[in-house]
Amino acid sequence: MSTTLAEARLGVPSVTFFVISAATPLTVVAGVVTTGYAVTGITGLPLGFLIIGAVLALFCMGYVAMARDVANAGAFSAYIARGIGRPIGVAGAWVAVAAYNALQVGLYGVIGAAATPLLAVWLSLQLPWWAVALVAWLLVAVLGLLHVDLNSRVLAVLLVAEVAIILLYSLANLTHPATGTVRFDGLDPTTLATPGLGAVLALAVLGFVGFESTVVYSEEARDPQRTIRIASFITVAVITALYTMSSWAMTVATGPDQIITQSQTHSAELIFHLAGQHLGPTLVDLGRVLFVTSVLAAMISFHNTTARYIFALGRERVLPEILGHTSPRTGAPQLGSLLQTAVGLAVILLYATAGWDPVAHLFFWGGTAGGVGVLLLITTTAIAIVRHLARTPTTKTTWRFLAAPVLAATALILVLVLALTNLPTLLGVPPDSPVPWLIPCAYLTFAALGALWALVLYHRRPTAYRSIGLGAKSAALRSGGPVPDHSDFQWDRPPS
Amino acid sequence: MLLLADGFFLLAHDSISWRCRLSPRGLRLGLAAALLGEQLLFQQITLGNGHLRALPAWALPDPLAQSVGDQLRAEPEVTSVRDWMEFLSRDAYDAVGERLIRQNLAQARVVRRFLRTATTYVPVNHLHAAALEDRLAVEIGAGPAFREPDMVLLAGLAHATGLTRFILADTPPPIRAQRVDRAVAALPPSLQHLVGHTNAAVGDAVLTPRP
Repeated sequence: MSTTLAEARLGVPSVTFFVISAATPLTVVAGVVTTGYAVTGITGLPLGFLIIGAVLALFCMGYVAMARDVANAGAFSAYIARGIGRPIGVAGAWVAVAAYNALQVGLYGVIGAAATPLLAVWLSLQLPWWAVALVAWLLVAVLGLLHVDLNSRVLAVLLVAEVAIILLYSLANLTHPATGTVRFDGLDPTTLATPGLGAVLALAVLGFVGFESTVVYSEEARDPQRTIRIASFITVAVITALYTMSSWAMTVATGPDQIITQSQTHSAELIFHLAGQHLGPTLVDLGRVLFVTSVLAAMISFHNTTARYIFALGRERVLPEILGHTSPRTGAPQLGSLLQTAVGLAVILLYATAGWDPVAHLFFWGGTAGGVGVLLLITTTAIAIVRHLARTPTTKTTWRFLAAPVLAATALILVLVLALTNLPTLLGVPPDSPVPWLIPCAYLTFAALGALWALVLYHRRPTAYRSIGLGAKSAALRSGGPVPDHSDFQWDRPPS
Repeated sequence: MLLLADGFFLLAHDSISWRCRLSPRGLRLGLAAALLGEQLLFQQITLGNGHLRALPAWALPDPLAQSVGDQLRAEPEVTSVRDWMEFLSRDAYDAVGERLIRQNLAQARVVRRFLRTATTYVPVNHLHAAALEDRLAVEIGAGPAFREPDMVLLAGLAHATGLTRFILADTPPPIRAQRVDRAVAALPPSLQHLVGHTNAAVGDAVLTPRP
């Protein structure tokens, strides 16, 4: 039995692949990077990816080390509950639900921009963005209820194709520098010495969202520590390399001084516009198709993450138990999925009727708001890790258990403070605009309500309070007790 | 003699269309839990805090239960209930299907899937399945003195995998959960643990997706 199970356990390649395949790199490179240049007006984005990659690699040390003591290892809020306290854990869970919802809903804003050029050329269809978004919304709703995590082979093909096209586009960009020579301005540290540094770092964090799911596979990995640690490092390294290179290559092709104006002119079209100049229409169309599939895959992935957070809260009975029910036939976290779907529809309809700009004000704001939320979660988790590992007696290396987590937490606090002070730059609004205040205030409200709710549970439903952070395993906790020496079961009738 | 896993298998299929009510993963986990439940009912193991311990063997009336018990005793160092559940879930469907065939309660059907064929097991006796569902519904609603532990355990496993929404379709969900929880809470601790771990395994299957 132990050998059979051991053979089925996951190695580094499988875990790395499961996680990277959900990273949907073309969504980040074509969508986030281009709109990021346009909105923030800062050329140091490639360097931002490098810095955040290094910080997150450091963070992964303590994160993986703590994962074995966390029952619901995939959720940041479970680490917070364990390391800092259950009320803050619930606060984190509510912030997470809000943040992942923002990330998912934001993608409805870009799917129109991604698909309409193709529909116009191939089918001569001129659709408004919200029509495309509604089709995507329906697809996500149905797949969410059927509990379809896109098939691993489909994801593998998409991932390889996306990475290939990004590399190809970047190569073309690097071999056609606008100024005649390849310039490294995008990687020059002095470009970051601007007031907008925090904005660049927050954007870079957005590119990495999803790296945290390596630990989900701890229980199924060959070595819950080593396998997951290596897989996390590889994931972070690959993402860092890909995004740094492609965002820098774009500045080379436009010329470092032109990247801002060009991306403001072309928005999410910039990468295809550049490819069109160097590579011809076929590869551009291929890239556009992959951009659409990439955004769809990202939508499904964030939809499922949100639904799972809600599901885990229902399972812990922190939220009504019914949210923790699965559909027997599909195994889907039904209500969590439906709730996320409802939020998506409401936002699409709101933007469509109000006539707001889907790319800048839904995709980019949704994405950055979600990114800031995730940054807030990662930072709080980093503090929880330090607290947890400091009070866990261990003989292991002090680097992994003390120095790295402390460094990571310090760096992340710095990044968070910078990001919050640079929110106007990040969102591309004037400093006196109220919008940048809305995001931290919204998260603060969610967090406060979550913590308050935890205190209510403490007094009213102590069993639910003790389950906070345990996810699905809270069901086993509710029936805890030592292994008896003898059968605790006297039954004279043979079972029938 | 209808053993626990046989009962679970019947409940997992619609008693009229024989359509399976569960996802493949849910079905296998439920059957594996039921096989462990048989070991508990036969007093072959005890269980607590996520671990199990094998008890002295005696000759069991059923070959499958006997072989599961032998496997458990062959590796006493592996005590994690979740690991055993995972292991048993690999072959549980075929093993229980074959046992039902031996009792003339099911037949094998070869179905063609994409590029391969697969064997499914289909119950044959509609009355039998419907009677089991009715009995379970009655026992869940009955007072503590009238309940049989194996039936309550079966109800607990059915509830953990989501089957009670079919069996107790007329009962509103909160009352359904309340009744099953109350009945399960009256079980001996080891049987309660098994229900709890089945519940956790079904939930973790949602939280640990394999693309």
